[in-house]
Amino acid sequence: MKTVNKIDNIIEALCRHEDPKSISILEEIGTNSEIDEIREKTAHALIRKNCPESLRVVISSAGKGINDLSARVAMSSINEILSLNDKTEVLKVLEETMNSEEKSEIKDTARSVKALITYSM
Amino acid sequence: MDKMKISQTKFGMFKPMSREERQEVHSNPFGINFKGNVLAADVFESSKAKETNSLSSNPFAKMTNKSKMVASAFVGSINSFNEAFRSRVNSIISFGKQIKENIANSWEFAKNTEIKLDFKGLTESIASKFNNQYSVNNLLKQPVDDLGAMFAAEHQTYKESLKA
Repeated sequence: MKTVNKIDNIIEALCRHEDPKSISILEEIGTNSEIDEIREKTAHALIRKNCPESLRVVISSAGKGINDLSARVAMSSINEILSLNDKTEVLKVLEETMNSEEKSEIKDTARSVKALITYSM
Repeated sequence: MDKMKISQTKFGMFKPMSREERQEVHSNPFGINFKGNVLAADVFESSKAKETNSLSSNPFAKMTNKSKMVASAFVGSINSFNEAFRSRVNSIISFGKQIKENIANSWEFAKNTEIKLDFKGLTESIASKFNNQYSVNNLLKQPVDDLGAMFAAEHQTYKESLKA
């Protein structure tokens, strides 16, 4: 089996794992990776978990998820958020980020994504 | 038999001829003029010839010169058609022979080939597909810490493979 496929399966397993520690592992190794592809896949996994802790990583953290410096990673993360069936938790985290975040860039991104979700609903 | 075509027919009958020539060659005593030219072909049927024709049992005997030409041209065309047909038939026959030889060779090859079914290898390959350590179902059974360690190890391997 190829290394990429092994990594895909590990990320998928961590995504499905109910242990909250899986989020910290994904954040620590996946979102801090130098490789765009790994960061993208990790962000997708964290969004699919669809829990406040995992969503905060991709929405409120600088340089991760929708705030990633790579346009490809950021855009695919936004796309993944838009494709969620239940967007209740996402909207809550976005609202929370807009009200509490100090960095204006992160606030603006959260506002834009919220507007996109509102238009797409 | 020589092939004869209508297009190759020499219509020398329109060639002008002197009175002497005309008398030597033709049985036509009148020397019929056609727009100033004398017809060179003997288009008139003599009464003698007519009598002999009526007496003979040969059905082709009644044919005129021109119709004989047409008939011979037709026969020539039949011959050429036969030749073309024969060449096609020969090519079909050779094709059939070739196929027959190929089938015979394939049969010889099949007869001399030993067919083995490796059940052990097949079982192993199927088992490896289902008992893959890195399948998502198997990974889900493992503790998160182990998954973290595996993730770190595979990530490092992948990073090195990209550098190389």
